[in-house]
Amino acid sequence: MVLHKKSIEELHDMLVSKELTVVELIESTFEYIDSIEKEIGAFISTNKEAALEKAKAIDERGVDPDNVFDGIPIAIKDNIVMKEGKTTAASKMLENFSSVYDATIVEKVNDAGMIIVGKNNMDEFAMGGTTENSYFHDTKNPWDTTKVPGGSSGGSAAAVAAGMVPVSIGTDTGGSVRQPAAFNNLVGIKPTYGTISRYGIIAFASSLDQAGPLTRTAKDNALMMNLLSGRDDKDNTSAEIDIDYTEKIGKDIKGLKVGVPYELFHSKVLKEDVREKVNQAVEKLKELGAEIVEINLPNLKYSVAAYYIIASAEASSNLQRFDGIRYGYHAEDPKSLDDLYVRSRTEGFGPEVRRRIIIGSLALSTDYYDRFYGEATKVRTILRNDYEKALEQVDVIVGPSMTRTAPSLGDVDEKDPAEEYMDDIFTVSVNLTGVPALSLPVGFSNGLPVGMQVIGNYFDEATLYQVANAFQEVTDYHKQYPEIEGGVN
Amino acid sequence: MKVDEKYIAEMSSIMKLEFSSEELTELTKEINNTFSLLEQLDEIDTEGVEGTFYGAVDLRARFRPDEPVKDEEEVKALLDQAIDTENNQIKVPAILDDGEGGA
Repeated sequence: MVLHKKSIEELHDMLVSKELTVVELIESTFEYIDSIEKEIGAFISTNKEAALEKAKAIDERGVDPDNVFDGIPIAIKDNIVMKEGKTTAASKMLENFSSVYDATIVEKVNDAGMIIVGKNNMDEFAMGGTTENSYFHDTKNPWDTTKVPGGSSGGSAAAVAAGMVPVSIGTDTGGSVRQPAAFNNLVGIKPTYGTISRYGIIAFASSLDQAGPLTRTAKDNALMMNLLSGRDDKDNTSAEIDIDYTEKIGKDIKGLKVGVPYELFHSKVLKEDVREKVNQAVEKLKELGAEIVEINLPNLKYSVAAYYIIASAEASSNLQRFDGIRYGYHAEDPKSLDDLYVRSRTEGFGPEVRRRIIIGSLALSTDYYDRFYGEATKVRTILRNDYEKALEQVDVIVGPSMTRTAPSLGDVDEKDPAEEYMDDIFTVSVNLTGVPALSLPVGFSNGLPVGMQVIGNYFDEATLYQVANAFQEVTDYHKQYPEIEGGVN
Repeated sequence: MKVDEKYIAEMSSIMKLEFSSEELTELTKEINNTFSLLEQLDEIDTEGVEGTFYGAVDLRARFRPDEPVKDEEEVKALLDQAIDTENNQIKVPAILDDGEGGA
């Protein structure tokens, strides 16, 4: 039975009709993971025993027909803490770290009866866009194993794209859910800041971090948002909201105003093949009755600089908690307290993490505060005003998620970091402003997926899903699957 | 604008990180390259603009009761992660290099 192409809803129907037991589903999931994981490397750790135990318990009490999540397998990015197993953030610093509590996301997923099969590979502390900054191993793109899966939620995206799980959860500080979604032919969302509790997510840049699900369909994604969203007393920035993210799914998009920012489509760094696919997708939205409106985001080009300053500044502060004392990597035979700090951090953090700590501390230093950090926070205000103004004119904004399709493994190593950061020009402004955005599959170039980003107003994710679902109803990009060596098709 | 290796070394020491001299040369070069990107911000007029420091659109302080967790298992699990413990407390190495005056 081919299970690895099924959506959450399809699997739920099979479980309810008893065509499949939860144990059979989980056994098949692990069998499939075992057959291709060597080729893909999507996981840092898996929880077969605990997963099967939970599956058995659900079979014994019976699958709840009214709970679409009951018994459904899911994978979680390894920067989201979990009592079960280890949480490493793909760092040597946390190689042997076990959390004493579950993140709110993990609690919600578990309470809903979902079965966590494992923790996904990622760039160390979510810093990077290829998953090559993982301390453990690389992850390959299931569409072409010579390519990267993107990052930092590369393992989460690869796991869903390869069909190991129907859904995974990633985190997005500057595009880390949307970019791998684009590279892997998935729907991935960065919700409005405050939508999903950050309690138990290992902090990178606290004012930018948001978790988001990765799925094949817009409907599955919206369902997951219903589960994950909402106020949590343990995260003071979580919003008091009660939204049904599926409420506009199935509604047509006639008359919906879709903004096309000149700056996104005419960017010098945008590759022609990506532009062409995204333009075709915009045409499709027009055919579906949307009104296309050309708009401007005049200060977009400053977003990358502002983002790297703010993200690195916050990271340099957040990562000071890793001191080699309370938890995490401890250097051997410290000669003094200072020696313990310095060696634990120097040996425990990888090169990209150390670089960002230094850049962040520089941006916050008295010498550079006004010029860099202070200025970046003002640019953030300007970008926020630009988006608010644009979203007064239109219902949603669309554009390419990425400048190009997935690059080859090893490519980024040869690039200068400043050049590499420019790749994120389309995604980072969304984190700086706090608005929601999703990436959805809109075609292929040389066999590699292309993603289109749909950006909306604060807490208006339902409209993003309306657009994405309307597009998926008339296209079949999301129904295409990679062929993986060793996999069963 | 350029920073030199000495400046980066000083910053590293404040951030409790250490770099070999080759790493320091490379890092200083990379940071100077990154500066050319960051200096784009000089072009934009921010006169009179207030900074945005938080992600939340609606930032309100909400209070909850501050209740201690008295779970011995949890305390044990927490202490198990620490470098060293003694009498339910975390023990750290001596603050002074010669070991005197330490814990």
